[in-house]
Amino acid sequence: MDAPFYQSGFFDYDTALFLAVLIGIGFGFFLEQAGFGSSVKLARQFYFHDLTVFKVMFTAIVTAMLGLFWLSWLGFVDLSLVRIPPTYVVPQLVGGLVFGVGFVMGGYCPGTCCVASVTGKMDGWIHLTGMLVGVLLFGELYPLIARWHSSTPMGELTLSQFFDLPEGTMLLLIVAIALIGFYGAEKIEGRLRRAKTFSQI
Amino acid sequence: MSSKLVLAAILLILALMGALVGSPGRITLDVSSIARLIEAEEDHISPTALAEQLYGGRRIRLIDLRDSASYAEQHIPGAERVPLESLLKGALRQNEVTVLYSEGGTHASQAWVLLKLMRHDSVFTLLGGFAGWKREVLDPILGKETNPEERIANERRRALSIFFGGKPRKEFQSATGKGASQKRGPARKPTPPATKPEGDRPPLRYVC
Repeated sequence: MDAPFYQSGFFDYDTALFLAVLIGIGFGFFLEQAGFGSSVKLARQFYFHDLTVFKVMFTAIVTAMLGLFWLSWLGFVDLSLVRIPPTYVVPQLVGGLVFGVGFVMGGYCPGTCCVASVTGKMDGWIHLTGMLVGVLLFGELYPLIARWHSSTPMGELTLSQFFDLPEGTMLLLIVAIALIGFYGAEKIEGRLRRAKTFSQI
Repeated sequence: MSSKLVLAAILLILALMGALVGSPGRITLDVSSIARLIEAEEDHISPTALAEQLYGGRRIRLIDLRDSASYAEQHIPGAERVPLESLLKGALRQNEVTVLYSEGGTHASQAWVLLKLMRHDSVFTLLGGFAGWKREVLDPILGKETNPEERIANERRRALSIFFGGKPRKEFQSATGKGASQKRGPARKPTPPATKPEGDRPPLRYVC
């Protein structure tokens, strides 16, 4: 029995969709439990007041990366079946910028605005509405931007391919970056707790 | 020692071991799922089913893998000629429903396998290739109409044929009759068939 289970034919498309809903609910539940249903908490990261989001996200990246690496090494996961979204440099840079500006302005990312909406937060609903309108506009305008959307393609590129390093070395580098990041985040938060004003940081 | 330090140490140990191991290994080509698609006949679409989808306004990217002379002579309306090498170098977008065709189908099937190995999910081949398209859609031989069902089926095939610039023939007409080898383009959309046409293969669907 190899993971990923859907691609390995362990269950069918309908079951995959059903499980996706369950996993989505679980994901939303834990986001809410971590306090990510609050735009105030999320926005505070951009002012270095609360770096929980940074720590949680990097923890998720490192956990998933180590998990996939070792589960594959042990033979439980077939990495060739794990989908790698293709890289399109310029469209993704622009998309990342739009995403970032939206995150700073609204205080939510797509997942957390759904969490905020179901807990009844008005700003969450507004953010969600904006996101859906954006999705609709993108879909309707897609023929106009289709060529640009697939420009500067680099294929299904991984960091180890890009830097021409073995996966294990890349793993170590990213874990090192994460640990330094965690250490730095704790330091900044500690200083902020002691500082009375922002200029004393 | 705090729990944070313990976790950091575990991370570091796992990462260091990873660096020593080098590769996660056991990476196999995704051949079994490709084999399943072929067995389930989800690798291709029949000419009639494709024609129905195009007639219904479905946006499908058509890739003609034949040589430029054949393409210039005649091709499925809307198709673009893309050499196989360009196709593998990123001419296709992921998840864009794409149908490949060659003259008979062999060349397209080979391209399909290569694209599947590159994890293009929504690629299909045209069953029977361009020859199949001509036989089934452009120049169909309309059978006898002894009952209403047969008449509706003929109407449908005739409508599709005219829409794509073909010329349907009655059962008794010669296959090499006038118009069979003419250069064609999309024609005026004829009156839609009386009933919703049904493809003889499963319709295209996005697969995640």
